[in-house]
Amino acid sequence: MSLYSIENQQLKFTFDTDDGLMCRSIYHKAGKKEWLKEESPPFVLKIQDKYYPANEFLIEKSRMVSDSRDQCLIFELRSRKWDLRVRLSVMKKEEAMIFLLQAGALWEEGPEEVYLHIPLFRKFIETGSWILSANPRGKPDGTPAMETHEEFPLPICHIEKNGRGIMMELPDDPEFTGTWNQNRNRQLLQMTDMEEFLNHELLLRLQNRKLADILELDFSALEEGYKEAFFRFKRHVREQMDLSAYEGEDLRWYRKALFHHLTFAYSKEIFNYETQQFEVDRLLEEGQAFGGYDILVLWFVYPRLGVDSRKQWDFCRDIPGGLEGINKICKQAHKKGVRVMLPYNPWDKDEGEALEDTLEKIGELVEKTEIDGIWFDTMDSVPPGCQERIEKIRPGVICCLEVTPKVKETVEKITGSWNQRFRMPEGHIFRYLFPEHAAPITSRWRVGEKKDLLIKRAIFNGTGFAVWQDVFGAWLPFSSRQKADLKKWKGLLLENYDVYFGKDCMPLYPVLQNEIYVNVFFKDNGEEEIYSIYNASEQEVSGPLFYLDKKAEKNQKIILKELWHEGKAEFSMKHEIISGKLEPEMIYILKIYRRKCE
Amino acid sequence: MTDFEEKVFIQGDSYIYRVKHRIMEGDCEYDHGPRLVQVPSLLADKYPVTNERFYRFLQESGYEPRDKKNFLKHWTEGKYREEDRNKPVIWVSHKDAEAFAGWYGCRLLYDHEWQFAAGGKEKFLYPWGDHYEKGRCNDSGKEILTEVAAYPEGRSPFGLWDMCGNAHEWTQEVFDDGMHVYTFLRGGASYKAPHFWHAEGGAKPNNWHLKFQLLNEGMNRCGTVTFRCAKEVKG
Repeated sequence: MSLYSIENQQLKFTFDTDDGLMCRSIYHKAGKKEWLKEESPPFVLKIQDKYYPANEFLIEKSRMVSDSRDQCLIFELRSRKWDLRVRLSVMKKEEAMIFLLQAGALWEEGPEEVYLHIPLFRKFIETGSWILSANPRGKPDGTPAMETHEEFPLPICHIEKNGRGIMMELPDDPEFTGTWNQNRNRQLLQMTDMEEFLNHELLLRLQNRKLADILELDFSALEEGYKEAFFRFKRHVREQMDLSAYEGEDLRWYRKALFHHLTFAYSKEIFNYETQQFEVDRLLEEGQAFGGYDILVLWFVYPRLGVDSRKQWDFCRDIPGGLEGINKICKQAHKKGVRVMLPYNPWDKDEGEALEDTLEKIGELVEKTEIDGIWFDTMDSVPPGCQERIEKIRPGVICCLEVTPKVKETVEKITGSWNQRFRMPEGHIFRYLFPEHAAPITSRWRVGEKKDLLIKRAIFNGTGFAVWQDVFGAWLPFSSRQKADLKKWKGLLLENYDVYFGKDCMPLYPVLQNEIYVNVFFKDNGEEEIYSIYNASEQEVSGPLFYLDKKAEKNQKIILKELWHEGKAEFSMKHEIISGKLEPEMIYILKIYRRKCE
Repeated sequence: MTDFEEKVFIQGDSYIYRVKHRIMEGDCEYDHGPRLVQVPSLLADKYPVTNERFYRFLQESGYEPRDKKNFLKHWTEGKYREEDRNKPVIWVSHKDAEAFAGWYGCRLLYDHEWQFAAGGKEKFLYPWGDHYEKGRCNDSGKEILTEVAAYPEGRSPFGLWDMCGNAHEWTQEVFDDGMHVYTFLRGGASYKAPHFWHAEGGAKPNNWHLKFQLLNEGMNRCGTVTFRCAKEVKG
């Protein structure tokens, strides 16, 4: 029997080449458990509606190669029907086993569509459950309870109830990995439905004999379930990035500026039509009902731009007092400890306006005013060189994006954006990967109960809030109760800042009941943690809810305190299982104190 | 010689008012119809007020706005440039326009009156008919105005000139919804800003208006907004 094996500390892969290439075993070493219920071809290709499993390919070479750092098992295969080559490599790394497929083909009559299927997934043991990248936890209707981010795709996992499992990452650059421009395939990351995932057929475009990467799966083993997977993935994401910008002393204030306000200038919320003056003090006073605004985004541009050819820069000079008026607003706000941002509207450009002109104008605005930041309308990044230009003129002036940044480079240097999503129980993965990124929640068009839901979303995800009552001329105020809720939330967020904005936080913490959702936040010193709990159902839920993250240490006492309902909510703990009674569609903030016993 | 002060008689009538336009964020809180509205008999300016007429108004009335920001920004040394003499006056606010009208015992046209004056009893979609026709108004896309009498083929059924394109026109009513103060512009303008997010420009049909949110005078005065006057008469 010709068996080939390769292993690291976690997993061992074994292939059999006697009767074509078959994957015989994926062995979970810590769990001492075979993860395949039976052997399987490692891949299948479909061409012209016919299936070609790996074991029907001719094996041209099977070899183990190694260097001072890595070891790699390589199988070179050739199709018996088509002029098509496939190389399967399994490379041993300390943290993962890299399963890499490459293929190339030469066609007599022009390229054919080739589809790739990985039958291994269907052969994984039945005691495990799949957790998909784009749907780490489905809601009752099957849709994802998590908003994901294309640049930072969650791993695909297969986990048993005891926490043992397999985790697969697909570490590709999302900007260039569509089948329209290359073959490296990320479709598995986009699937939200289990049947779609297990029956996947991934389209490839093979146009010459040269081997192109078609799929990379980085396998690693899990022993502590999805939480371990999430934090490993988070570490992988973060260790490839330089996040030092978030540590800048100049920007420290920004991270604690939790409540923003979209200040529509053409509104009596700030403008007095009688005196023709902006009334900053009154606005800030009224903001106390929300717990106080920390940043005003002074908005006088859209939807007025375009009536004539004046541009946003002209408007800065034409609003009451012009640039001096802006400075007056800044001074009044600064006196109260509030910062001011002005918008930049990238779509409002002079014909043929070059990047340098834009930078010049933004720079001039920063130079001539006392603004604290620029709010980049519609943008998920800033114009190239913009931040550097601002930094040179006045360090500490921040850039805030309207849209969650899309690419790593932007996340690294732009320290804030607005989270304009409103669904519950969904949270956005970005908040949990980069808790240091200032991202208040807002959604301009939500009214009535939807505003309540938005507030719940902020509480559930532990984020700040952007109060937006005047949507460019549509007055959509918060009710007195909603204001009071936000004020209370801001107080709690500030009181527990070190917990909510510690390094470690996790969305969709594993739970013991359907339709409840939990996010967890840890203080860096390990002494406190907060579980935000949401009962999404229309029924009361009671009984065991989830396991405490870790057991109490020796001489450690665990104290539970619910913060939102001020003692009116019931929670208890027995054998590290948190139990409680949850009202329908209600949010809870359960704080855990780990105190040393005397 | 063109008499730019000439007024046209509009026989009072009622018609079913209906306005349609792109609603940007911020909405347009107004009853856009269909509803029956009454237009009184009017003597309405045949042309938008020209720079020359506005200059004479300043001479006669001594009018000086309290907030002069951007007031007649296109003039030099207190007077229009000669080539602008018969072009619609711009860089005047709604208040400036009201002051002008008031001095001559007039007012601006209400939104529904303006529509009637432009479409006539025929309720044309454009001053000249129901179909857009290039060459009947200034729709260059640029912020370059033409003289108010430049497009004879663009006259309305009542004989009013320059009601489509060239420069937007202020209407009479200023609305206060409790939080905002705004008015409507009519007719569109030659200028058309390039982006979707910009306020709509270009020559517009008679059943269109643009919500214009007022702020200070410096913001209210624009390089594309003019006005014409009218007075109610027995008809």
